[in-house]
Amino acid sequence: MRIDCPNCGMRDSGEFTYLGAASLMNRPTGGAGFHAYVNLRDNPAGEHAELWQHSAGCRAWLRVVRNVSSHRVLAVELAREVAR
Amino acid sequence: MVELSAEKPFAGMHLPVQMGQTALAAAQAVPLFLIGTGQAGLPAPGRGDPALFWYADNAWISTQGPGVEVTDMWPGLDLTGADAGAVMARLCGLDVQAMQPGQVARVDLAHCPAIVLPLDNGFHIKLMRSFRESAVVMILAAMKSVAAQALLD
Amino acid sequence: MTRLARYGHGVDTGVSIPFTFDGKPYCGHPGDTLASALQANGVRVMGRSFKYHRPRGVLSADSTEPNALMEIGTGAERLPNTRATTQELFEGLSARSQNRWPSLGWDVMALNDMLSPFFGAGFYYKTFMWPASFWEKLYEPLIRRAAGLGRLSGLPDPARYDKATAHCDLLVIGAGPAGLMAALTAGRAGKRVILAEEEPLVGGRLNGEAIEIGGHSGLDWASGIRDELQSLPNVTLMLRTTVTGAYDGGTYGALQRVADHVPNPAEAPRQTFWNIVARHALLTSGAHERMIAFANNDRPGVMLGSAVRTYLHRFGVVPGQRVAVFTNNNDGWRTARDLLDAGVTVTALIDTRADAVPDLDCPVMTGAQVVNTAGRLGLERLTVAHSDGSRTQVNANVLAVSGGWNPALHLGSHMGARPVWRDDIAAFVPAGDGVPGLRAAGAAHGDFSTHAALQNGAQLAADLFGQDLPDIPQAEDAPTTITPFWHVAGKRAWLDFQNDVTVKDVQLAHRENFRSVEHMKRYTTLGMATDQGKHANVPALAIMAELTGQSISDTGTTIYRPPYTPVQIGALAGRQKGAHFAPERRSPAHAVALKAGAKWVDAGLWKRASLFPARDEKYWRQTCDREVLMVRNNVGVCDVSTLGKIEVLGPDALTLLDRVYATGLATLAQNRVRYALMLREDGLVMDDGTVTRLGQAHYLLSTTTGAAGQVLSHLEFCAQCLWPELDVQIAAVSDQWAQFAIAGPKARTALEGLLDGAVDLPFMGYAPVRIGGVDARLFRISYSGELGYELAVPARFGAALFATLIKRVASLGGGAYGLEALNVLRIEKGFLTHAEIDGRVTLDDLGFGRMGAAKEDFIGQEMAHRPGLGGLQLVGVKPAGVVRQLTGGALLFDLEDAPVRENMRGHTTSVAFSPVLGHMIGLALLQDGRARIGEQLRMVDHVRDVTTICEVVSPVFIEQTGGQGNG
Repeated sequence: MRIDCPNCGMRDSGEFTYLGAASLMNRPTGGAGFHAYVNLRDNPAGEHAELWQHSAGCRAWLRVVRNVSSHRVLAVELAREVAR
Repeated sequence: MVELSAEKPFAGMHLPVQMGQTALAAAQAVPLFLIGTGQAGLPAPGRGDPALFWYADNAWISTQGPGVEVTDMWPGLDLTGADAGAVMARLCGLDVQAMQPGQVARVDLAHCPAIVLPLDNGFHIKLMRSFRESAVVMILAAMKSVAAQALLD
Repeated sequence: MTRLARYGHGVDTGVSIPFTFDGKPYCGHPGDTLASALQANGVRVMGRSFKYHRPRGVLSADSTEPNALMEIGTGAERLPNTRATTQELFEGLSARSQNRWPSLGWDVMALNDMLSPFFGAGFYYKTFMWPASFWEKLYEPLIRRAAGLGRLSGLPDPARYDKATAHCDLLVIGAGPAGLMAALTAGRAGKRVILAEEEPLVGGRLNGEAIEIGGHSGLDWASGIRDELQSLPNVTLMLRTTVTGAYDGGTYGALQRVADHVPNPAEAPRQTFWNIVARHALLTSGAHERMIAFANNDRPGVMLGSAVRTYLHRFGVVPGQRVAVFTNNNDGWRTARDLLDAGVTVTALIDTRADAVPDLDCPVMTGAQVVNTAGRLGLERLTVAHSDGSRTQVNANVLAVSGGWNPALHLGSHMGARPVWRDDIAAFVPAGDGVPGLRAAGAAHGDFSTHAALQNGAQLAADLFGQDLPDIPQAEDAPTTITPFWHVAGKRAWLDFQNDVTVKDVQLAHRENFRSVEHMKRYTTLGMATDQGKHANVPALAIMAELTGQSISDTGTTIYRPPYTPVQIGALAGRQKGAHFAPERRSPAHAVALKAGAKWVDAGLWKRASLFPARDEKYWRQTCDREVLMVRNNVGVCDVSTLGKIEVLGPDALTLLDRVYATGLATLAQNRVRYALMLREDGLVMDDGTVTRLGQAHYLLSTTTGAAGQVLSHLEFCAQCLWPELDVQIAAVSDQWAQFAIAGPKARTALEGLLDGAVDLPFMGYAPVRIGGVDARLFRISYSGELGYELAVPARFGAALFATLIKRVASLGGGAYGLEALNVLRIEKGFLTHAEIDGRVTLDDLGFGRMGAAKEDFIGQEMAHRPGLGGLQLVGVKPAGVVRQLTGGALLFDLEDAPVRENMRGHTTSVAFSPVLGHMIGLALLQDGRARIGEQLRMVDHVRDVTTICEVVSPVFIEQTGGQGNG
């Protein structure tokens, strides 16, 4: 699998570290919601928005939309741009 | 007063060395500083030259301070010669054929963190210091392999 | 041995190459394969089959070969299961046949063939059951000995292998006519082209035929194209390179045989495994000819027609003087015609089609089938059945069989797409978009004529890059004329030669209801050998289709998986073996420690000094005990450079850190150090370390060695994903600084005179200092509990500083100490490592329950106080009975409880012998631990078989130490 890092270009997936679902970017600001934030996930056999870090490259965190069945990467953005 | 001697990062590794069509040599040591935004003319991601290059989001490495000193963290080597690209192909996944001076790439080189800057006749490679012995062993092995294969034909 | 004059374009008959086979000496020529050289020497039997040990000869002339598998080489270099058809001959090559004892000619295990009624498909599901006790002692050892074909040497592989990456605009897979035209078209357009060819020469099928292109020999045409391609700097021709797999993202695996054909490769790698990243790829891999199954179709001498032609044209060899041809399509006629042109006797052309009209000068039988073969250790005659029921005996020692062609479409199905059946050519073709970016052309696409190959290869490349079509030279454009014919009724009609599977086995699978192709495959083992059923799969599924009444299209194929041909594990490992399995990280003081006689331990990728034995110390405890007492009573120096160091700067640095750590940091003044704990969002402790305030908005974090990477990624995640609005810079500087701990009552004395200036720091203080003009960092912190400092200098001065420190402390009666002593010292003080911070403990468990209580929000705060979380509290344990041994990871039980899992109350985390106290001590996590101090427990280590009565004590074993006193 190859991921198109917005900073570094197309690189092998081995250069990246996977964290989990992109929902991890939406940290709750208060008590309610932390259980879902930490523990609950959808598990689609299809398109999935997720967080990868380009750990062997520029260290940028990326929000990647990927089809988890075919590995086809549909979109890659800097998480920093999405989070604002 | 105590005098502390400075160690050359590639001392004892028998550099410079030439094998076939490639040469590996320690690059001239220069001070390096990690700088953030707040300066004009900073290169875009993936761009730069050994004096000033993009390093990460809102981070550049420059031979001019002020900034967080990283001189010792990234000792440099020069890999040059007609077969430098063939050697690099055995060390990392970069499309080295397509790279031009003016570009910079952070990548794993033989599984060691590295920064690669193309030169006219090869590549300037900065290696993360604690990995340097392992990385040099692998670079030399790749050079030897490429040189030996040239003899087979 | 003679070769046919005017034939054998691939060999140089002027040079003789000696080699041995089964210990006997033979000679061949440069350009020979082992198979062609053996045949030229009259060798017909090349192996014994897997199950029945039937004598087998070579079937093919390429990498699909199922029979002629050899052990090549001797000693550690011995390689089993090597196809004689792909092994290039070289001087001194040593080959041995497999799976036979005592010899190929006389194999004891041929007994299996006589007992064949008992060894049908799946026999092992119905046997070896009684008596049950015989399984382990008799049946399994017997089966193990009988299993497998070749033997591994059992010795470490001495060969070198490389792994490498290549990038291109177009990867062309196969250098036959289609591939050559495609590479030429794209190459002339200036595109980066990689042309990969499995064989050591270009041309593909042209090498085995008498085909003309543009009025010249196809071979001359191919050489001309090759020369032009090699002159283009943007084209890379990779011969001896098999593309083994198609993966997502336009990546392909390829195995390049660099030196398999060279007797003494010296420093060259034996093979290189490539990862090729291609914007586009073209599958021009040709097609494989099919066998027809009939009784005893495995007799040595029965071969594929295309192979007979290859041995004739490329190698100048005909493996017999009397050749018969058996075919169901027009292609088989070519074999007869080429042989007749070469002056070879063709004793019969047997065509299954009643309406066939071959115009050839040899005996022709149409509407006929071969129903049996005969001959000991090789074909001597065959039996032909005619449509009117009569039978004829035909004299032949070679039978060239042509059952049609299967496009070599495997790569196109590696991502799960199933191939498509075409009735008009009676063959499967690649699925259209099975692998994004990969298209097929020529025979691989089901277009079998030479013209179609040239045309399609050029067209596809031209279309991809917007080029004009180049001139297509003139070549034959014969249509495919085939009537499907899969098998002749009869026993011992072989489908899978390598796994010894017959038509009867497929019929048995059908009878026993294993009717899907995936079930048939596993039940019969058809297609599961090293050739992965390249000749067996299609006829078998066609027969299953007949039996079930379904169409071939509906029956379908089994799943195709990489690698296309076998790949040695060594090639996939490349250089990453032994000491080079992973890189090694070394501290700036590594060489100094080495010279001081250090013993080493692995901490992740790092090498860390664990002990510095004195000359008279023989046992590790002597050293460890001495080093501990040295620090407690005197002074010691330890290399702590490997711990993570991260600088955080900027107007929002404090905001970020206060949200990331549980520890409150707002009150941390400049030049002060604070011990800090970081939680995961689920409330459990992630790591511990220190935070030092270097400046107004400038902080330095330290992490444990093991969690340095994790903490850095976590900080970057917080800064980029959670709070990108914060104005903050995160700089990892672990390798920038060498850092050493100086600990013990004489620590300050040791530093006096070393620094430019006085040493005057409060406990948990920091100061920038200088040593001989070099900027350094001095911290007053202690992991031993004694008066302690840590001194950091830029890494290039680390070796010199460590050497200086060792000399200084030695003059005070101290020395260097390693990880073993460091660990004892911190256990004596109840300090933590990841043995305690194991991902399951809370702040309260560790005794920091009140940390962060006053803070607004930090990571983990919300979930840290969930009921039921944690509950195993940090305590100390010491032996209280006769047994004095404690072990780490042992379980703790109440005295009255049986030591079983249900009664677990906790476990020991870190243990050590304390030379200060004179007994073993340990840290442990215990349910309600703090309330049980003073009670007795039973420690049981079920793995090491140790049981010890312990007393629960405070985790701080030694209260009074000099650490916090006036420095």
